[in-house]
Amino acid sequence: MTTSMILPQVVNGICWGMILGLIALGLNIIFGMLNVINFAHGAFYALSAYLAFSLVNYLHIPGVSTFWGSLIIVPIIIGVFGIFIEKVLVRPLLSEKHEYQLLLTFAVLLILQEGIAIVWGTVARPFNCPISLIGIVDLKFMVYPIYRLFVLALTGIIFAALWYFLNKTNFGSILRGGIEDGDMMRCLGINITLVRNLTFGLGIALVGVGAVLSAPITGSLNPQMGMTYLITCFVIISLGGLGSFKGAIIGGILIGVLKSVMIFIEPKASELSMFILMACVLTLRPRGLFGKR
Amino acid sequence: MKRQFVKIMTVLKINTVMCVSLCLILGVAFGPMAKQSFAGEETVYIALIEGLSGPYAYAGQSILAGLEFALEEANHSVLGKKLKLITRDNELKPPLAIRKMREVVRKYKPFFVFQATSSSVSLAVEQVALELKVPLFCEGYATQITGLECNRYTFRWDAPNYAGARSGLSAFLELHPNLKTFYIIRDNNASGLDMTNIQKELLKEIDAKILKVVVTPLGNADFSSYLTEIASLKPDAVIFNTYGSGNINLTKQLWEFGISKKVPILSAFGSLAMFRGMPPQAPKGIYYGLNWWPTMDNEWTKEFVAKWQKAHNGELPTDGAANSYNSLKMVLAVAEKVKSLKAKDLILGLEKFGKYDGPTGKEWMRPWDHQIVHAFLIGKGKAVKDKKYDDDYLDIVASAMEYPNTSPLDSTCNFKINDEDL
Amino acid sequence: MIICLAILPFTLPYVDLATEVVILSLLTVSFNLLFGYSGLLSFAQAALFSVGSYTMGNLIIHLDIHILLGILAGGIMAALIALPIGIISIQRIGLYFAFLTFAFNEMIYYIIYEWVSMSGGDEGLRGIYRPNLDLGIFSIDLSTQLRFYFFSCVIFVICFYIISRIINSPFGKVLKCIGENADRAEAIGYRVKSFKLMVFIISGFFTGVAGALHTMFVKFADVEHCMWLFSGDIVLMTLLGGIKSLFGPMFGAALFVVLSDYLSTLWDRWLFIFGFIFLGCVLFFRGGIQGILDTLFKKIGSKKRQSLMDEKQEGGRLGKGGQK
Repeated sequence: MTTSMILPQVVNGICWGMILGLIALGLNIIFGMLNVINFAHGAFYALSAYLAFSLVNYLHIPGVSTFWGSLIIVPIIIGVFGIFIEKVLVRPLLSEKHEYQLLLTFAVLLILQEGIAIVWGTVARPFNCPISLIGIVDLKFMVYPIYRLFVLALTGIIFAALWYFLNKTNFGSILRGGIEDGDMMRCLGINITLVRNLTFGLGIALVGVGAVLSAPITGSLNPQMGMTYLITCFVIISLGGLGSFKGAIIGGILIGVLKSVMIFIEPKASELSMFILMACVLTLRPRGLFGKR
Repeated sequence: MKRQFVKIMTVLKINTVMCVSLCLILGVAFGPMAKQSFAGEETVYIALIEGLSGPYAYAGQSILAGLEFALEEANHSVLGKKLKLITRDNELKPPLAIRKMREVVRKYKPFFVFQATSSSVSLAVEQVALELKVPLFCEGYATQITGLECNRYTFRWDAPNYAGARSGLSAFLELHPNLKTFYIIRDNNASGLDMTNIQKELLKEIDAKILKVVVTPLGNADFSSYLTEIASLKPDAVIFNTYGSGNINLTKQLWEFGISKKVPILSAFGSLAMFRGMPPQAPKGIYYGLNWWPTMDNEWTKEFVAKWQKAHNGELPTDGAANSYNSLKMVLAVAEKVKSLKAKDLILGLEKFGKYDGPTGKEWMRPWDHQIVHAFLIGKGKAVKDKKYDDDYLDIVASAMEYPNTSPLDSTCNFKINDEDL
Repeated sequence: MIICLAILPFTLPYVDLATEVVILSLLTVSFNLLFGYSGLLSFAQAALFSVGSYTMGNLIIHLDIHILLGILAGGIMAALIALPIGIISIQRIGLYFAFLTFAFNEMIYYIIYEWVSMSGGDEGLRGIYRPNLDLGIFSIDLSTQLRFYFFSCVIFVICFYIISRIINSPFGKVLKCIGENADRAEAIGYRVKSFKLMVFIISGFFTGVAGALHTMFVKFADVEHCMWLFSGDIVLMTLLGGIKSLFGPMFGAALFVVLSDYLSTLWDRWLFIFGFIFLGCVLFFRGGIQGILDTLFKKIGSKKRQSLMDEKQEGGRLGKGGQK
């Protein structure tokens, strides 16, 4: 087991980890703000991918019906849809026990997933890489597709942009304040409802971006595609800390690398390993690595 | 104690009333439903239990299309009775398939059942067919289906892995001699395991070394870990025994990582429907094992393709469609010949079917293991610029017919049922 | 209820459905111990069910075990596995507890999936048969559907009785207390964590029994029933039926089985409708079917009471008048 063999796995793991981190971040933002674990996250992931698919293959709007177009439009659409769901369904349950919110989002998951199967059918749909990014790069120690490097770069930029937004802008501070202490924000006269809406939308939009980015990598869409991501994201946010920005990203990268390396060393234990890691971290540090609660 | 007892009794009383009323309501609502299915005495049924969703969904849809096409040609009738097809989705899960099979057989009493697309499901459903005494045409490539785990109620058209490996891998080795090291990726199921084992035997015979065998879950999305490993290990050839969306993803990624340009690759299972799901440049240079291809040069194929294209707007039929169309045609032909829909008569009739003209040319229904022996093909993926039309994915480069159980004496399949017990 | 269980197989299109209702009723009633009574939302039932299921399967195949022993063994194995899961999970409450049980469920899923020699992996465990019920003096053949149904009923009734005794005992009352307000219970002096662990193990035991019974029912053990979606289904059924009472979840199980069987023949995507039903339950009908029926009975009951009270008042006035 030489470094030259492990290193490509690590790089691959980081690439996946960044995408996972993006989706987990969406989950974390929603949780931090609204104290809701969104089971339906996986379904939103699948829905975004299918929307992108339809946009590219069926609606022939010049300029927009491309991968790049969907990268911008789909997150917006799905974010708005997310806000709608939040207003209609989650809001009434905010004062109830957490368990009921969980069950509610579970119901939404079932509905959305079956809805996708109804609309788009159960047969796997292809989703291809944008032509401009096809090809491979020879990085001396490994060969890697250009597209994946692009994904690495783009997610990095998004994370940086988000961090800047949350920490250096006024609105970002309001958002963070809302995550920390919603009641106080209301006392300060800020329209917390609007902020809540937007946060939920942002969280879901992040899932949208993650979905559109990762769809060309897996190459085909099926209604259950969100499920594996859902479980992995749950592990990531438990590991990284519920509600933590850093936690989602670092947790994501950790899990991504762990899985990639484990698939290489002992494939049968690859899925199991992330749960063992999670259990260990939670036992030693119940809040997760960076969690506040 | 007594108070508790009284309490339980009062609660029981209310609940009994509720329970009984619920039962009555359900019975009234659904009882007639169950009886309705037998309303038409003149209607007989065949059933299809297959994976309409999940990683092999398109294959399932092809099989369904083939059956419906044959049904259409037969005018939805057999022996003067109305013939209906009942479909159930097993989501590629053995327990669901078993449950649906039981449900359908109880409700509709079909005279023949078709099960498609997965060896694991076939192995499970075979046992149910034996238990319920219903003849079954099943698919899947695992050799045991008409081998060690065979039974007299089960028939199969798909070539078993033995044939696929021997024909496929032999042809591949002939086209590319001097291959010494191999890297194998396979599906985590009965078929993948079976195929890989037979390939291992073959490779041992030529003193080749297997660097690694990787097992991936069905419909695996990301093979990049293994592809980077292949890039560093540099085997002489790569074999992948995956089916369905796993195959699609792997083909695509092999091309993306530039591996299909450098190293000869063999995919044990290929199918037209699979190729439709890939980017058009991906299959180039990769060898695929096939049960059938629409450009095969025989009368049956030419006729079938022409008929199909006429009815389906010029679209080409897939091997799944050819398979199920042929199977149903066989069953109906036997039914007409023996003038009966009883399991015993149909089974005996099929066993006597012998040689006939089928999708791959001359085919033969073997009576001692119910396996149809037919040619197995190897196709090589074409470059996009060489394609004459959209579905022109491959050139057929080889074909062979090496099957196990070549005689009743050395067959691993032993029917334990006599004619009278059928 | 016994009468109802006796009639059930004849009202449904076929007996298999009734057996499934009984097995799922056992599952949901034991889950309700956790959710309805103690307020613990757990997602680990699927795993525990599978543990019972595979234990039974392997014991039958390798040891040709007596059917009752096998079922008991399934329950015990599940309880044993529930112990570590419980110990770790109850350290946290609410959502985090659900999360942890979810994670354990997935862990066990992958262990079972990869442990092919024990579980048959993706394809499940084949070759399981249903032995006769050997009661020493005589042996009852369980091979027909109807006979197995009554066998399941017997097992179910025994388990149900035990569970109802637990609920009505002081232990059960503490559980209810914990379910309503765990902090208060802690303040009064109960060691909440110990109680939670106990109920988790007890529920695990019955879940395992249900799993073993199910394996005998379908003569097959598979890893599908270990998926968290199955845990979710159990929660759905329990909520649907009604979490406030002991009988409630049975309605949910019955309705789920019947509807899923009927609807799946109509439309492959019937889960879509179920999602909405579930949604409605969570939003509006928190008490489930039992709740609806209870409200109905109360209304009818109150009308009766009203007329009784009126009579009393009348009688009173007459009485007074009479006396005067």
